[in-house]
Amino acid sequence: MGALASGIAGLIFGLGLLISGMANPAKVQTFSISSVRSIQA
Amino acid sequence: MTPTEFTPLASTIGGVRIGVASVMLMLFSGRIAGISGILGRLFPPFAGEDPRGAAAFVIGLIAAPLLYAAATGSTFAQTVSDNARLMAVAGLLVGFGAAYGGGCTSGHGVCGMSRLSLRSVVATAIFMGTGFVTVFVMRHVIGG
Repeated sequence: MGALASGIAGLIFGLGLLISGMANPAKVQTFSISSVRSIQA
Repeated sequence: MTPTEFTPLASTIGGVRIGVASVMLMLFSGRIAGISGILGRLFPPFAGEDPRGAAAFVIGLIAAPLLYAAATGSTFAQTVSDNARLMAVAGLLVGFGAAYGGGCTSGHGVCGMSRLSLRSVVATAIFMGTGFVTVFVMRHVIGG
């Protein structure tokens, strides 16, 4: 039960990363740059 | 700079999934969804603490893009540097930082923050801030 739940949790976690775009380093970096710019503004 | 779309709905849906997965793992196995820690449990000297659960979680993570591609009929966007030496050094630094800081973005940023852990709030603020500065320097100071 524990391993099955862990597997499903891993699958949902991975899908969450993919759907949100956080598995794409380019998007994460763009978010970082946008944050710096908003601090500068 | 590589432009990326503003996708608030996808970000929200993805964030909810990450949160639900973290709660599921805590509820059913009593463990924090810290990816570096879970991966570390597959290898010595940390192997032995629920290796089946750790392996199942990692298999689930690896299966996610396959399921995504099968369901949508398309692959997901991923832009990674082709500089293997840079990636290896970066990976080592991330691994060292996660081990030394007692967690990574998922452990501190997702689970620790939601538990209102002061240690995690401080760790997340520091590594996010350092990440912002690093990207800025790499792109606008060094990269030109």
